Amino acid sequence: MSVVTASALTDFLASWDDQLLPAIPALEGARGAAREALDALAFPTTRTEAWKYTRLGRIERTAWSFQRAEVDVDAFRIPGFDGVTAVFVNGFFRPELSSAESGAYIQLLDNSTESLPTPAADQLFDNLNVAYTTGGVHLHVPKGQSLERPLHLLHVTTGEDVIAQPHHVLHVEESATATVFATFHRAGEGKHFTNALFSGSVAANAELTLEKFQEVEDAGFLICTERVDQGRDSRFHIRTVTNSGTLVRNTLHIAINGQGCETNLFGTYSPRGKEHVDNATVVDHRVPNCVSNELYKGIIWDQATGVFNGKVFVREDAQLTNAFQQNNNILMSEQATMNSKPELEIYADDVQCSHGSTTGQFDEEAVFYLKARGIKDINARKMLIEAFRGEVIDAIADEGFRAFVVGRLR
Amino acid sequence: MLEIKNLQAQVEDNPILRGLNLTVKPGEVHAIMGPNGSGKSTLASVLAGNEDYEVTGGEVDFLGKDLLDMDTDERAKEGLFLAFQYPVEIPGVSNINFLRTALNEIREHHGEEQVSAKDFLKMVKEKSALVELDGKLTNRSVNEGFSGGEKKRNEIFQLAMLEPKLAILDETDSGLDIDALRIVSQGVNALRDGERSFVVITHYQRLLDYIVPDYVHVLYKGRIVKSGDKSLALELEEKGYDWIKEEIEAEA
Repeated sequence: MSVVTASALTDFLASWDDQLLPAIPALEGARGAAREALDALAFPTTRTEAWKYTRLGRIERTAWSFQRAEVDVDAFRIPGFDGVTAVFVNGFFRPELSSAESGAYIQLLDNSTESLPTPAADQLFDNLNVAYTTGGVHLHVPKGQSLERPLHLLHVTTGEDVIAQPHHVLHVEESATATVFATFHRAGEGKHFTNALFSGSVAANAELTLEKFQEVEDAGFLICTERVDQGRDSRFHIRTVTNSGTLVRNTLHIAINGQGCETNLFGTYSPRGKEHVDNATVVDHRVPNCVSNELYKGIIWDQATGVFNGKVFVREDAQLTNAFQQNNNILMSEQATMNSKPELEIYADDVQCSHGSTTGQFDEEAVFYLKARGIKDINARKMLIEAFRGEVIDAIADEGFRAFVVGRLR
Repeated sequence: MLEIKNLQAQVEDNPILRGLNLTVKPGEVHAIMGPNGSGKSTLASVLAGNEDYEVTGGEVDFLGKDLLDMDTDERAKEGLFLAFQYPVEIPGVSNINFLRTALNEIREHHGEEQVSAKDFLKMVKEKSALVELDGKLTNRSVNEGFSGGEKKRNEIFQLAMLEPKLAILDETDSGLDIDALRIVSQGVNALRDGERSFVVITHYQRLLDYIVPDYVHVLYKGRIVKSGDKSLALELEEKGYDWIKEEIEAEA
């Protein structure tokens, strides 16, 4: 007699039909392990430290399904962009909308021959993604090479109760460089959920830049997880600009495994209405002589909520680490909420680390000053908001992408 | 130009202006002096439209329009300029971009064309020279990291750029050393053209050696209690305010 115990996720997964998913040999091994891990996993609650301020009930209670759909994505293209654009609609790769099925160093994850690793068994969203991946790109820049133009990973969701689970692998080998834009949009009115996973590895002396732009609008749920390993003397830059979304969570984990690394994490978010944006970052300094620099700036409107939970570990061996972390927020209304928790855990004694968090109201004196020079109230406020997030936005190196972001920002 | 009748204003239920009357004609320079707490800066703030101050009575006519009915930016667009006693630092907003936005909004209000990049830069060069403001400062964030003197010179630079019809200088001389005072005053004097009017609020007679007023008024307890020509300022410098206070108390 066999006893079948229902896992906590049985109901949640009942509507997921994996017949629609592509075969991805590179994930075969990991997929089995991930499905097994899911048997033992449940949705985190607000008692789970990493999810303390973000309630996932609306995701858990929806019967999501994989759906292939037709949609016009032209509105989401970067004007004048001349790199490779890979378009994913509801998580599925769409060759006819993409500029090339493959480019130099770029191939579909379906065609990858590498065996990709299994996620940590306690991470729900990593395991959901690996167990039910809808598709992705494998970027592999060989030693000493450079991806000449950035890669644009363009994600659009459309339909009702649709789930997308893109999985991208970004691998830059020794002394190689690459820039990737990842943008998330929605078309139509339905409820939609994207659970994206990026795994990155930046080898010795290599450089990877990941620019994310998120505008998943009303009824849009987006969880983005990035797990990145850095080798000796490597540089990794990531920026997360969240423009809209009912619930957006970015989980960013960077392991610094080699000396001489530089790591830059930037973010800005401006939730409105009842939107909720959560940025949880971990920078793990495991070795000496590295620099990390983190700056997140939030503008919280209406009854919206922002969460920043930034953790920096400086391990016992990580002497001479320079780690800086800053989170600044402006509350635009009395009902707006910001939960900011910068954390430094330092086990080495010869380090330079600082962290700070500020949350305040709009500077009305500055508004008055600008108005007294003839500038309309709304324009004065816009000017001050732009100035506030300028430190994050102005630093976007690619002009075309910066203009794209600035043009779409609310 | 400006006609203030029986103006009354308060902050958090404390009456500060208690029936102030003042008439300024085109091209005139009026100095407003008075002891601390007499309401000098309140007058400047109320005229500029600062909402921290509640107007409880009276009227203000500016070039035939009801000034108190206008929003702060409209007042500026109609030609009113306030040089702040404490100019605000605004990180991330460049001096130049903000002035260009202001200038263009003012021009648009009057149905004029936007200023071209070339003309604008020419103006910046000319007007910043007027107050010996370093070109580097014009490109920096508004007032950020400026010294006290640089902030005040920046106010006069903005005044020169925006070319208002009426400028209110709120204690522009406070905290300035004699060199900075000279530069600021020269800037102001260069902008006196027989049409533009000035209301110069000051605590110290010293400024009036440089910017010579047509009229001097003494503000006390929220009203103008004495008016005269520039000799009144000298008399105040010599005798202080007590004799005026005594005069007022005796009348009451």
